[in-house]
Amino acid sequence: MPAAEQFDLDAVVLAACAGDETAFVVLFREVQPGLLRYLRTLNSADAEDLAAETWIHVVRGLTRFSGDARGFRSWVFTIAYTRVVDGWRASGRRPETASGAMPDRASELDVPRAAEETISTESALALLRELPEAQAQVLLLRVVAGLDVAMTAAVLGRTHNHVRVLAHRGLRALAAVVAARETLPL
Amino acid sequence: MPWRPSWLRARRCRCNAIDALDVVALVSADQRDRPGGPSPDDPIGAWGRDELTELLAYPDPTSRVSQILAAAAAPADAGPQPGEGAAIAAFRAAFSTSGADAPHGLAARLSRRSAAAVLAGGLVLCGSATAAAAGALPDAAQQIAQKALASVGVHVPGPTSKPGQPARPGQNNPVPAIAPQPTTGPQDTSPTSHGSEVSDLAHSTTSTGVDKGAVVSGTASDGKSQAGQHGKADATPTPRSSGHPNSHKPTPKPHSTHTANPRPTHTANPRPTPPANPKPPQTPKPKAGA
Repeated sequence: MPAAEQFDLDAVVLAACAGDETAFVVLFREVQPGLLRYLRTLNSADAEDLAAETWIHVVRGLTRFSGDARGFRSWVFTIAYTRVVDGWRASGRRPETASGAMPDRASELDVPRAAEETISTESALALLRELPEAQAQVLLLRVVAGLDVAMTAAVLGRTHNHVRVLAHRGLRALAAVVAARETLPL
Repeated sequence: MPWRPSWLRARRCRCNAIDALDVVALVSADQRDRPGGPSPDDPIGAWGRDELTELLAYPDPTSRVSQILAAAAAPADAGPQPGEGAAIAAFRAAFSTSGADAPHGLAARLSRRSAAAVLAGGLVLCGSATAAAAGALPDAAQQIAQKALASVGVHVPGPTSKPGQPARPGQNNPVPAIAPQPTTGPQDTSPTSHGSEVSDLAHSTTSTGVDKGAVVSGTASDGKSQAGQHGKADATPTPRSSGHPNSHKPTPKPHSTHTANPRPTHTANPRPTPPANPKPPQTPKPKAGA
């Protein structure tokens, strides 16, 4: 649990919307780690720039925002998702996906093979990057961003059941990716 | 690849869209993996209860997938985050532009509405004042505007008494169309006193014959009558004289004289009065007490 959730984040959101810089810093440190992980997984090259653009949009619309901390987090990731899609459209490409098939080659990252070995965050994000884009989006928003099913569905513009199905399919695909890597010779 | 009917295989696409078999397979797998077993009464509700803890525990808390997800969601280090400076700078710029103490949300909307209402009211007042100054308002509105603006020291024309007659700009206190005339000079003499004067003169004069008639007629006509002056036309010609020795302008008829003078005082006197004479009377007018 993040440290910022130990106090009332709803009040922090209200203070930040009223122009309290300290409250805004608290919100930034609460949301920015998950936002960067989300953007790095979907677009590793421009993650920092996309995060900066996202916060600029957040600051511009902060006075018009009305909601609690959960709504604020969902709003930030909605802006980030829009930035990501705009980046894909501008570059004319979409991220490479597994298109239903499991990857048959080993990742360049050193994925730990022993269950007791600690898995780094970057290694976990690299494995999530192997998933199809829709499944990776759902898992990132559900696990990394901490959004519930309803908010994830709102961010992605999908139904609740669609989000649940994509989450299950992503988990199965992730298990297959890990199994494929563990069977590779050292 | 499980067996699928031909109609479903034909419609099966290669995208990430969900089809019926995905739902059936997921429901079956979810119910099979649950410790309590599937719920035949509510299979959808059973697989739909996927909370974050269940995701992290998929398929069990010690699995590799759970560890990977836990690593992805690991809390970050407390303290400044990458890009924090730029975000704070953007925050300061945004709130310095709008003002940290500036009203926002409902207050800002109310302020904008109030400003718009004040502006609209000012425009209406200015337009009304302009129309009132031009005298273009209806009589009732013009009268109200005249009173209201007069209280603040602005004079505008009042309502016109004749319908369809516009007020003249710049005429602050217009005179009514029928205004009482000042009673000075020869017009001050009322018909009653003039009649008495002529009557007294007729009874008190010592002249007789033509001379008496000339005196009385001259007094009654304010010196216009030429009675008794036959054969003496070239003695003292009057302005009305045409120069002909026999020219004699008859005394105006009583009814025509009565209609020529619109003064309301004439209506109370049935006796005809002589027409107004711009010249001062030749005969001194006796005072009322004399």
